[in-house]
Amino acid sequence: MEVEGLRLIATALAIGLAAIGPGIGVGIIVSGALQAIGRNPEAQGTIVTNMFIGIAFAEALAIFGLVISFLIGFGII
Amino acid sequence: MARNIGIALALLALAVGSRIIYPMESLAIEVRADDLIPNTIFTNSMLVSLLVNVALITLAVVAAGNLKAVPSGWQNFMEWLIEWLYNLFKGINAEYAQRTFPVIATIFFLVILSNWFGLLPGVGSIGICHAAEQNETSMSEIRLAVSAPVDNILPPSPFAEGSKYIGCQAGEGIVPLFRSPSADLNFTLALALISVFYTLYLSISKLGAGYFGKFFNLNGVMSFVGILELISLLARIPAFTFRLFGNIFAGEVLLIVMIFLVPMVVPLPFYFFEVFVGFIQAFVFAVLTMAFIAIETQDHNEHH
Amino acid sequence: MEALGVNLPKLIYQIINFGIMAFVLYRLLYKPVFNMLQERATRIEQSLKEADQVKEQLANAKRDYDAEIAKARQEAAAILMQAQERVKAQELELINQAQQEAERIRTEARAQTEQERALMFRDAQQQIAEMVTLTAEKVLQAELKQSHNALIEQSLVDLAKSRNN
Repeated sequence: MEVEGLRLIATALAIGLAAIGPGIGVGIIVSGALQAIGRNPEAQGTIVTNMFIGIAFAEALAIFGLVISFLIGFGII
Repeated sequence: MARNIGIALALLALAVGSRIIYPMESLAIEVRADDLIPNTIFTNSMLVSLLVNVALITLAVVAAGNLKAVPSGWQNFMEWLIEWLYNLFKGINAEYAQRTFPVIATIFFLVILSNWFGLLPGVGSIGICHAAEQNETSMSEIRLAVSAPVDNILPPSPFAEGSKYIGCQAGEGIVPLFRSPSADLNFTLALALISVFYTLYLSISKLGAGYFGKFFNLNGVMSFVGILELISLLARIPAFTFRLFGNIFAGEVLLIVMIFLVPMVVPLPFYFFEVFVGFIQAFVFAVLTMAFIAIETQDHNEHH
Repeated sequence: MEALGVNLPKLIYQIINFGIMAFVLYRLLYKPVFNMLQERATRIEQSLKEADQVKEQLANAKRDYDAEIAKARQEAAAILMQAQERVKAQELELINQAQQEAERIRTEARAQTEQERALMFRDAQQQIAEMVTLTAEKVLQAELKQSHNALIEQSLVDLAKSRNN
């Protein structure tokens, strides 16, 4: 197989695999946040803020994978 | 009902028509910001960060240059925004909200304007022609080159004569004049360093040298925990850097790929999404900095 | 990192840029807006306090006014009562006066009547005496002398005195 083809596969795999975990994580975070809001609607502001912080942490992992996939795709590494 | 179906059909026709009439020949995205003037460090993202500065200072002067007791217009908006931010930070840590506000609010304003500047039309598409062969070796390596998937079916684009860029000679590429600073690692790394070192400065000035006892100590399991804490502290720098850079750069790539696939209608929801992401990233950067300040300035000896 | 476009001068440029922006925004935006917010908060507090004061003053004034009104009403009632009393007293006095007047008039009238009666009585006495004297003169012309006149008159006076008593 050509190097270019391997590169494309690696690019796709990097972001594809990296998105699995954070996807599940974000789902759990939002589910918990929505349950919390349903239970205690007055605390919605705080919960949404903390939810976004949590999402940012989980999403950062996917973003790392994305950056790696860009690096592979653009031929930097 | 019939009207809605008509609108949907018209949008579909517009999308398909735009795909046929204005196909993009290839994608050109770069990971790093280009130098606008050769042999200097002045890049297109620096130009945009200067524009962002000008926009922010203009906003500040317009909003706060002539403060009135009864606010209206921009003053009202900025007062609301600043009060909202202040209450947000106060909700995270009341002790440091007032003191750290200038730094963290500046992070928020710079990041949000940088993020949104990258969404303006012309950013990335207006540029200076340059001969591709000049630095072909470096450029060709870092350009993602994808050719149109339906090259053989479609008629050639009317703009494809000569060069794919209007006003350039055949074979020439462009150096974009504008680039969102958030899509430049220098900007995001600078902000990450400022955020982390500002947190360090605050915690050392509060807890003194005892702060380092959190990382380096010799009481059993806690020494391993200290090493983990150190690693997590150091990992914050790339996390901040690549979170912002990755989100904004990925957003640009996403938009370009969408425009490459279907030039009209389809990219629109992604634009809305990117506006939202731009806000969320600025919010997250500011709030995380505040949260880390809140965590790091706690005296651990008191709590355990 | 170099392949990603990170290099030290550009990084330092961004850090300095951030520092300048933080300073400029602090001077131009955050500080004035915070001062404004604080000023407004104090002003609102002050005006609330002032409003409270005004309300209190108003309540005081109302209370004073009510007291004044009550006092005035009492005074008016007192004056009215006094006036009524005075009027009653005057009335009584008038009635007394009138009664006295009437009494006086009655007494006078009685006195006058008495006087007139006495006068009349004396007249009548004289006339009777004269008539008696005249008759007696005529009767006694023959037998009695003029000197008996005094004796007759004396007897008449005694008669009158006995009747008066």
